[in-house]
Amino acid sequence: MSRWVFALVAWSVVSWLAIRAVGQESTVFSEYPARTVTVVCPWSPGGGTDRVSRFWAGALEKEFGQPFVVVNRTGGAGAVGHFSSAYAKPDGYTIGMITFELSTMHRMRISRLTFEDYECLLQVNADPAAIIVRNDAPWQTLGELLDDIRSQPGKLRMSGTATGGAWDLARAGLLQAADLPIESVVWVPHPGSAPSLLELMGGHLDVVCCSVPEVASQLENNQIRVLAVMAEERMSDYPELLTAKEQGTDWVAVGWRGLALPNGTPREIVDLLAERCAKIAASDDYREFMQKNGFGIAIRTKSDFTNFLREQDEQWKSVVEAAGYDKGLTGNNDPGPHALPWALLVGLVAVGGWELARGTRTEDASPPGERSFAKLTVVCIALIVYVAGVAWLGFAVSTFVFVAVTTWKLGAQFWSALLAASVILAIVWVLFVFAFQVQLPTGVFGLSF
Amino acid sequence: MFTDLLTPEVLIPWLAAMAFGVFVGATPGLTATMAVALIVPISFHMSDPNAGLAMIIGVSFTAIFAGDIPATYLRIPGTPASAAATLDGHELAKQGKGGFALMLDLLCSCLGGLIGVGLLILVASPLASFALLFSDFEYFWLGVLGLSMSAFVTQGSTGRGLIAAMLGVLIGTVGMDVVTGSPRYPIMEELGSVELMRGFSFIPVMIGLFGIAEVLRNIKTDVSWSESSVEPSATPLSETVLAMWKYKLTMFGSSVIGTIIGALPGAGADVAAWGAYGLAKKTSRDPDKFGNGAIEGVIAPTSANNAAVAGAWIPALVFGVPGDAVTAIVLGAMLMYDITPGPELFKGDMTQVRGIFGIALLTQLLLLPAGYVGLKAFGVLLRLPRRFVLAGVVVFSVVGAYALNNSLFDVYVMLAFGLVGYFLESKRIPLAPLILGLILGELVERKLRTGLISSGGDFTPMFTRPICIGLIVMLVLMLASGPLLRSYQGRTVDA
Repeated sequence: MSRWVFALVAWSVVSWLAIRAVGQESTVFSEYPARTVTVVCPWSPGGGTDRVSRFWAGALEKEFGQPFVVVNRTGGAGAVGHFSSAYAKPDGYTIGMITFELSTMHRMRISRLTFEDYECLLQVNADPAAIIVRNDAPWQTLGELLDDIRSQPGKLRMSGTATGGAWDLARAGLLQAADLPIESVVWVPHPGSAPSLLELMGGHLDVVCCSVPEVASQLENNQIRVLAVMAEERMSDYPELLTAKEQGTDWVAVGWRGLALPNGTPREIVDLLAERCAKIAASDDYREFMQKNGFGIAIRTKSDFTNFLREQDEQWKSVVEAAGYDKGLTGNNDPGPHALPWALLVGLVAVGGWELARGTRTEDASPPGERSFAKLTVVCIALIVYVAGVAWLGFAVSTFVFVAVTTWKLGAQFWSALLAASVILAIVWVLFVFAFQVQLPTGVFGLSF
Repeated sequence: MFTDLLTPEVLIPWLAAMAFGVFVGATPGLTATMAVALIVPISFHMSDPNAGLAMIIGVSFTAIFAGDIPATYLRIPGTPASAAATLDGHELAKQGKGGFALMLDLLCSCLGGLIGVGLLILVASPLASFALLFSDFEYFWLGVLGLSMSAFVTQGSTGRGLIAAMLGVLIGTVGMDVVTGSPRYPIMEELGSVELMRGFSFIPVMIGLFGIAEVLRNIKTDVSWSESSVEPSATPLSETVLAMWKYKLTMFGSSVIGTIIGALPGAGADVAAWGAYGLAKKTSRDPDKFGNGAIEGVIAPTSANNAAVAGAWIPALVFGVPGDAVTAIVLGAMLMYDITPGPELFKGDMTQVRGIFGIALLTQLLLLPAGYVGLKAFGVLLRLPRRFVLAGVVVFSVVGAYALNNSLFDVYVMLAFGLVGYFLESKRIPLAPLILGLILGELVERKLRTGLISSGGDFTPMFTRPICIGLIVMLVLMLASGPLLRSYQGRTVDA
């Protein structure tokens, strides 16, 4: 027996050295990106953020010659998508499209995520919020509207997005800047700007808050009026629209989008991507695409972008608190995230107790015999050692040893065990490494396979 | 419809996957679920999504057929759906007509599958228009219906089926809260476990439950394959076709019954096979022959189980509610191919639906050559020592779990669920309801909560909307018939 163990160990060492010698010669230093890169878009297909994401994926694909694929991870007011990109493996193969909500969601207890969970690459866009009314509305300026709100608080109805969304917070900040209580306007949640606009036209709403490109066609047809744009300066595409600042209310609110990587991404990859992104941002293609879609271009590179996000974080803190959203958005008849797990635990205890009380036999359907129990223990331990070994010794070594030792312990001939291990390893190599280009764990020895 | 599919890029992996399905399905102790679980991670590496889908769909049908091979020759069902084939099929084999029984199995599986897919194509689109009437609460009930059915129909005690379903839902809650998007268990954030904050990926969990757990079970049972084996015999084509023509009504009826049972949420190919067997016996002119090598006793279950695989897709594609564990895995894979089952799938240009239907139809035809090779090669397969097969399954489970995201964490998850799955099964807690719970839990929770938000916290529409009432009635009826079905199943086995 001990002779066999020695032989097996010796064989493993020799074969490992042999593979390693061959392996080192053929080691391929993988140049980033060596495979498909995922761009996580936190909003649904077809929307503005999705279109921007797809432009960037396409442009980066052209730039790098590797596929860049947009994956829409929607839900939770954008938190799901941000979450999945922030906590993706920081290897450069997941890029996040980050949006305005990143600055506010942690204040509203949707997530703890902040801009600090990202390596910020590039801000690609900013659209200021605007105050929009019907063309036949009585207010000609922002001041008139605000005076009206002041004289009859709680009468006007407003929408543009869901409660706690970008445009809701933008109008809340505007009211705050004008020394008006937030609840002096009733915010009616709607799923987006388009349905809100329909309600505005139908007279069910008095005011809509959203970005100017979202209402471009209605503006052209003279169906609506833009009373104020919440930007530092007038928009270059719409120079005739007045800013809120010009009309005496010092308030700026922009919805922004940008590209970011998970924290901990290797510096070379961050720098490489930042450089290429900056190149794309400066291209005519990008200008053309943004103009065609009506998105405002606003470029801030790495540290500028981070600083901008730090300011945004501060700016929205007081607005969220004034609107009372910091106490969470759950409430409103939602049983909350913990209702189901608790119900399940109660159910499990109840059914489990009932099963036990009924006295049904809980022992095995066919209890293992002593011999097979010993086998089972050996295999379980071997499995755990194998999986631990994959991380430590690398996939090839660990797999070879696992297959050889377990099949041998289960009664196979020594040589056929070694043969089986080699054959299985060869199949995995052909299929996954050769055909599918999967990079299996190399372990401490750096064995590429 | 077929031109996209009849390219070498699709056909080669497709046939290879079907051969793999035959291999796993025909290996006693390895199930069709395992075959699908192991092929899913491989399919994601296909550059053409059609090829990936074709692989998964091809495997699910072939493995169900191939399970009949060891059931006939060895009296060991390759997969639970083939248990009925151990009766008359094995009797025929003992009479030296095993090859004939298996040719019947092959042709009937193909025709049963075609009838099932035909019904799927006929029913799915109209049902999808109906599904558009569904709001949050209706989906909630449908999900509950699927979950409780799978718990009640399962072999063993209902209570354990329920425990499995609830555990599955609970496992699914790890990670993100589906409605607000916030991490559900802040403790995970405190622990700094990024992976657990994201939740368990479906693929490694499934590979663990159906790959590793089955390996362990095989090691425990320690049965020798050769004891009850009967020598493979000739496979006469003309005799088979004649027999099928004689019993064409049995075949047709069993296929329809199989499709219907498969379409019930929670009931799958195994239940369908027994149901069709029982029905064929009851309606046969010669019921005494059943169990002694009746040809109808071969035709009925094998037509029904492949038809049921197609039938299970009706609720899966139209409502996103899978009927059994195999379909649940296929559904989980479709989500990763960016195909979101539901009525919206049938609106618009229908290219995805047509692709799926085309793949399902062609799979039945490809089953003939793939299955025939399986029949002929079974002897060779038997000579392959089992420990090597099991070691191979372990290695492919590890690579499959890893290759999905290049993540070792997924491998740990896979192993952990393999051990947990083995433990649960040894306590007779079935794994099929668990995987359904994992898939359906999100739907059930999301629909209930958004339903309550939009109704203003009012529970009454949940019980008063007309479709809701219909679903509740169905739930009650099914729960009442579940134990009946089970006791019936038990009786047939004894027969």
